[in-house]
Amino acid sequence: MRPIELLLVYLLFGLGVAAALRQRQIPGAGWALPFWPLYLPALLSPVAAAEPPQAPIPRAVQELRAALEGTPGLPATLSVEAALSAVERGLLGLERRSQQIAAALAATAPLSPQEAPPELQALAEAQAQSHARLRALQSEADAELHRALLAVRELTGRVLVARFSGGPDAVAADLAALGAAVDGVAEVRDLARR
Amino acid sequence: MNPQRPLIDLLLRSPEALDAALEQPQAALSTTSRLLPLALGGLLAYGAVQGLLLTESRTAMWPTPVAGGIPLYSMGVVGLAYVGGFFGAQVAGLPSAWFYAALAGVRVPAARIAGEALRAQATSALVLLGLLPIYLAAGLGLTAIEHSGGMAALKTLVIGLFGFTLPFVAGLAGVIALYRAFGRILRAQAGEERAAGPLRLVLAWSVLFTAMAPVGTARLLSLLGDALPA
Repeated sequence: MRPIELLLVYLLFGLGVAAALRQRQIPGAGWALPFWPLYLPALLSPVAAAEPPQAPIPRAVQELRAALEGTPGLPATLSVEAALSAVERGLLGLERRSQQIAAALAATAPLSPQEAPPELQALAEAQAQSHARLRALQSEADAELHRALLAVRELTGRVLVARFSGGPDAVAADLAALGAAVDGVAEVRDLARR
Repeated sequence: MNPQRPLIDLLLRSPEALDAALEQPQAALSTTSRLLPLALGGLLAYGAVQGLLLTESRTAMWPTPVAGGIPLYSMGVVGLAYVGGFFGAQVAGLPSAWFYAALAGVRVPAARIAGEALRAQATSALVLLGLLPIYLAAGLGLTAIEHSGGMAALKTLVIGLFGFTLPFVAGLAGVIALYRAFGRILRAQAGEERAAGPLRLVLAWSVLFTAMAPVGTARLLSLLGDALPA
C-alpha cells in the first residue's frame, strides 16, 4: 500500500470518528479527523446514563426521608411525613422568597445617579437605595436558605449517628425535636438560626 | 472541567481538576479537543523556528532541501515532521501503554491512557514554548556568525543536533506530569502510595516513546523534505 493510500484510509477513519463526535455534540469534533486515535478510546467507552442533577431542596428532604425510613423504632407520636412536609414547605418558601426578590431586582434597573439629569437626581438616588436594599435582602434570603439546608443536612447526619450509635431514645428525642421544630417557613427559619 | 478555567492553569496548577475531566469519557472527549491545539501549537511553533534557523544558517542537516531551501517550506516541513513523529509515536504506543499500566497494577481504561498521553504532550509543548525564545536567541546569534570551519560545526551542533534534542528535554516535563497523574490514580485506587507501579509504567512508556518519536520525525523529515522543491 502506498503512503497516499494509507493516508486516505486513515483520514476515512477520522471522518467516521469526527461524524460520531459531531452527533454527540462534542465541541471540536474537527480535531478528530487527523487525530482520531486519541478520541476513539473515549468514544467507544460505555457512557453512563447521566442522571439529571437534583435540586438541593428535594435532595436534602429525600436524604432526611431515607435516614428516617432506615431508622427502626420510630416513636408513634411523631408523624414523619408531617415533619418532612413541613421541612420541605419551609425550604420551598425560603426559595420562593429569594426568587421573588431576584425577579424584582431584574425588573428594576435603577438610573445611575451620576448619569441622571439634575432634575431626576433625587429620584435616581432613591431608586439606587431601593435597589441596594433589595440586593441586601436577596443575599440575606439566600444565606437563610443556605443555613436552613445545612441545618436539615446536619439533622440527617444526627439521625444517622443516633441510629448507628444504637440509642433509640436519642433517635426518638431527635425526631421529636425535628417534628416540633419544622412546621412551616417560620420554623425552618428558627431551625436555620440554631 | 470548568470551561472558563484556562487550560494552562489546569495543566500547571490544578492537575487534579484535569484528572476529573479526563476520568469521564464524555468529558475526556471535549478535554482532548482543548488539549490538542496546545500540544500541536507548541510543536508547530518550535518546528517553524527550527526550520527557519536551519535554512538561515545553511546547516548541513538532512535532507538538503530543508537546510538550503525556501524558509517557509522548511518551517512547514519541520513543524509537520515534529507533529507527525510525536503524535505518531504517542498513538502507536497507546496499546503498549495500556498493557504496561496493566502490568504495573494500575487499573485504568484505554480512554484515560489516551487522555494522559495527551496531557503529557500538552505539558511538554508548554515547556517547549517556554524554551523556544532561548533556542531562537541562540540560533539567531549563530546565524549572524560567518559560516566557516569550526563555526559551521558549532551551528550544526546547536541548531541541528541540540535543536532536535530540545523537544525531548521538554518532554521530561510531560513524563513527570504522567508519573504524577498515574501516582494519583493509583493512590485513589489502592488508597496508599505505591511508587514503583507508576515509575515502571512511565519508564517503559518513555523508553518506547523516545525510541519511536525521533525515528518517526526523521523519517517524515526525509519524506517531506524530498518532496520539497530544491
